[in-house]
Amino acid sequence: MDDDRSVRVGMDEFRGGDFFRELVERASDAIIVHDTVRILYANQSALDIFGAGSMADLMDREIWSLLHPDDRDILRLRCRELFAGESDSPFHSDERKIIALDGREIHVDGTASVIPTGGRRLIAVHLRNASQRVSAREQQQRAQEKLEREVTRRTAETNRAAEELWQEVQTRRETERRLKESEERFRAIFELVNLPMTLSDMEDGRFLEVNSEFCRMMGLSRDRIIGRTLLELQLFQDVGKIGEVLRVLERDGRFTGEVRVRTPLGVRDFLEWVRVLDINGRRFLLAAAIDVTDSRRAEEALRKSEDRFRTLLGNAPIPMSLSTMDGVMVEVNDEFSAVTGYTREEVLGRTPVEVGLSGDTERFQQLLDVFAREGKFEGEPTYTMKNGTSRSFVGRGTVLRLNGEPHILVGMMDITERRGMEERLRESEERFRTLAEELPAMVFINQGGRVVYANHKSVTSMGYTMEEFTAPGFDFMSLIAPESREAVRVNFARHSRGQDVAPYDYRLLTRDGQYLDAIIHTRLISYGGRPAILGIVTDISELKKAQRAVLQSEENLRRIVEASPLGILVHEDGVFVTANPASVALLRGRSELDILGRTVWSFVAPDFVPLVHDRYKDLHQGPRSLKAAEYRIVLLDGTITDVEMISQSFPVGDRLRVLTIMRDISDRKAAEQAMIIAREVLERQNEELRRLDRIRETIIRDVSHELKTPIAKQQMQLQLLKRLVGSWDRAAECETVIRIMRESLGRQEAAIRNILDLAQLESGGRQYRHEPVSLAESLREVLAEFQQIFRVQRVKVGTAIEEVEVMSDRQMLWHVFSNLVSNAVKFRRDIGARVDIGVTVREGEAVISFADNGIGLSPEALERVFDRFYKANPASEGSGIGLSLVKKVVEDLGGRINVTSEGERRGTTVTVTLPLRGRTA
Amino acid sequence: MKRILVVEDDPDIQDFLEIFLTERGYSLVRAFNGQDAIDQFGVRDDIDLILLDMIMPVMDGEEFFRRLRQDMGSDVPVILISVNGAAADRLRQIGPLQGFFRKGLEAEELCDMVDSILNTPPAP
Repeated sequence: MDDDRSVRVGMDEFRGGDFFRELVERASDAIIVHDTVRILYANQSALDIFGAGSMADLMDREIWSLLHPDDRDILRLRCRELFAGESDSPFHSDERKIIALDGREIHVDGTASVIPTGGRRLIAVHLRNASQRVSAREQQQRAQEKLEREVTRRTAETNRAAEELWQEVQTRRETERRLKESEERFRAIFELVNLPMTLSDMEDGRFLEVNSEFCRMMGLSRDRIIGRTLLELQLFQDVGKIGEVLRVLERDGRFTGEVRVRTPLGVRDFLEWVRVLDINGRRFLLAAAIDVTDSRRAEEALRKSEDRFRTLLGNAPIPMSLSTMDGVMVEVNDEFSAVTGYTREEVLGRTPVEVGLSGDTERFQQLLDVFAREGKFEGEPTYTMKNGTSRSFVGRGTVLRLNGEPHILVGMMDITERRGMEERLRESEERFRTLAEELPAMVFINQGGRVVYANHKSVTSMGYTMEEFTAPGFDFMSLIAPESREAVRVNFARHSRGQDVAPYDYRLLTRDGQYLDAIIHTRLISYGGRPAILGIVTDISELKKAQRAVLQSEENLRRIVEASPLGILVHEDGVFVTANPASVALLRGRSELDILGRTVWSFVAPDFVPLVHDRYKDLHQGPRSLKAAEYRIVLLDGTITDVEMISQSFPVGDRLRVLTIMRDISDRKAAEQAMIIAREVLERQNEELRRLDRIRETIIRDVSHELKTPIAKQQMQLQLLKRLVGSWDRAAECETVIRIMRESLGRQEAAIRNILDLAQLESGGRQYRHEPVSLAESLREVLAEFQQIFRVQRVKVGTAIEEVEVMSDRQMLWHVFSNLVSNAVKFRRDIGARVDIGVTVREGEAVISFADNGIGLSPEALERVFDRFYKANPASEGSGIGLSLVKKVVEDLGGRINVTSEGERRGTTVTVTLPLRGRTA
Repeated sequence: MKRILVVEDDPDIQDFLEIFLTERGYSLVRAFNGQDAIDQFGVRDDIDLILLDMIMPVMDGEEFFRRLRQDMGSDVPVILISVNGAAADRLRQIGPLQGFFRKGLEAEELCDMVDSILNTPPAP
């Protein structure tokens, strides 16, 4: 109430346009006045919200263009209603979107009301920025939505989990039910079966379940059995059998067989049936058993009886068969199979006729009749073997009762062998005789000191007839040379005692008194049922002769080896077996005994072991020769020396031996070492010389620098001075002074250059080149240099230059030519001076001549012209060193220089001769 | 304006060269030994030609020439200025040498040589 009143009071107080205008201008709400089409007014806040810089940006703008198209129609309709007076109350609208001038969309809350003014109705719109609120709400909404989505997802998950759980429970229940049924079925079978049954864990062997039949059989209560093993209950008679059964179960998953079990009724045999059950990876054994003890015992008694019979049959050393009275074979022994070639399986259940042993059905039937009638048989039947051969037998048969039935037992003896024996004996004898007669050696048989057989060779070699040999009174010792008789007697006695004798040498004496060297091989044989000696005698006279020659040759060889100055060694498997005196000395041994038996390796210096090893391997691949190699070896006294070795491997019997020839090369090595040292010394000296050379070069360079530089500087200063005096009054005189000074300096400079050049050449400081030089070209260059001087000094030049190329030093030649041309100019005549320069080849040499018509040389001067510092005319310019330098160079280049003159004022000719191919040593 | 690096330990000779070369329109950069020249050459790329003395302290002309031609791989023209002609042969074994000027000879000859190397038209 108070507020109302104060406002009213204020209204009165401030009634007037300016106040309200100000109020509107400053309002925090945006206020826009429009006529439903165009904006007529906007306050500052309105400018701000629309992003307008000034009123002008909004004035006369269509109001609707500033509204968002979504809101435009409804607001326009509402404004029109207001404008048309259809409604006077202001309308309020929240969260409409306006479009700012820069295109931004802004949420605003707005109120529109009608302002009547001057007869027209205008619309005033109040706008308040609502974008913050809107965006806050939108954010909240988004968060809300996200939350809801999350909740929905979680709920779905939970539902699914619950569903799965329920399914799981259902499945489990179903499984449990089925398990229970299954268990019941199993148990029913287990209990109802009239056999002892067990279920046990395969891994630990403990019984999980047993049926009552099992308990009854074992005389144990169920509680005693469950949870225990067979071993603990000591049920098995044969403990080893358990392992065997388990192995079969592991392999096959089942076992069927007999086991022997200890029961209260005694040890009993069971036919056991066991299966492995794999249930969810756990393995169980389900076992059932049938007591077979009683039936087994009866069978066994029978079998024992039959076994005895069969054992007899089986072990008989002759073919035997057991047949029914119809001839059907029911048993045959191994010998039967061995002899006939037919296996048991091939004959059992069949008659010999059916098998093919007997081809004659009628005779076979007669044989059966004999058995039936007389109960026995004896004869010599012939049967056909499986391989088709026929064999004869002596057969004996008898009828006996087996299991109450009559059977025929037949035993046969093979007589085929006996029948063939005589034939074979004849063949063998013939073979022996043929061989004996054909042999190039003497063959005889001695029985009881008598020759009972001698071959043809014996007859021809010894000169006795066969009859004489075999005559009862023949003394075989007469065949033996007296010196061999003792040896033969000894060996003969050994033979008589039944001992074999190794081959031995002896000498034979022929009938006509010739001695033969022989080697005899003997063998104890049986001849006519009694012991005899078979002798094979080989005449080795020729061999002996050869052997003697070889021995002689070997002896010679041995002497050579012994005398050889080269070390000769032989080793086998790396062990020395031969060493000659030179090798003993070389290895510093006292005798060969110091070396024989030692290994190759004990001599090899450690560094050389790999090399020797390689060669050793190579040599032992087979017979071969290796090239010489140098080793370092350790001698017996411990010193180390160098040797050269040649090795060769050669076979001796089935072994390889290595022959090594060795030479001491320590002297040569020492010399080589000395040479290396000498070379090093020389190289060091050389290096020192090079160093001195470098020092000398440096000195020359420094000296020349020091001498030349001041002159050069003076020359430069003179050049400057000459420029400076250009403007003086007495410039001409100054210039003359300068010119003289410059000329003087120039000569001094040239002199120093020449001296230094000569010093350098003489000290060997400059190495001459060896290159192709065209003399014509070189001279043309020199003449070009002098062209101006020739013109100034009025010297005419004539040339007769052939194209000649020499091997020489281009630069030094230039120097020579330049010097000589310079001399010709220097010592010219005043008027009509001339120089003729010629190049030609004469007698394989290049000849270059410089002939002037100048002041010439007196004979005395001519003699001294090459002396250093000699000047024919002391007043003449130049150092007097030019020509001596030229001579030095020409001679260094392998050439000659010659100066001639007819005398003073009669010109001088200098001739330079150069070898075409350059300097030769 | 073409720029010439003068590597010379004697300032009198440098002055002498400057008088003649500036007359021909060249600008001179001075270095007093090889090392000095390398330092200068290293920081500027406007050297058109080098006049090189042989015997200098710190680093002589031969060593400078070796570094220039071999290490730095520069082919900027070099004229040897020396009293000793043999030095030119030594340098030529190291790399291309564009000219040799014997100290004491007419400076105009040197200027002509520089002109011809730098293709400068002859002075009117």
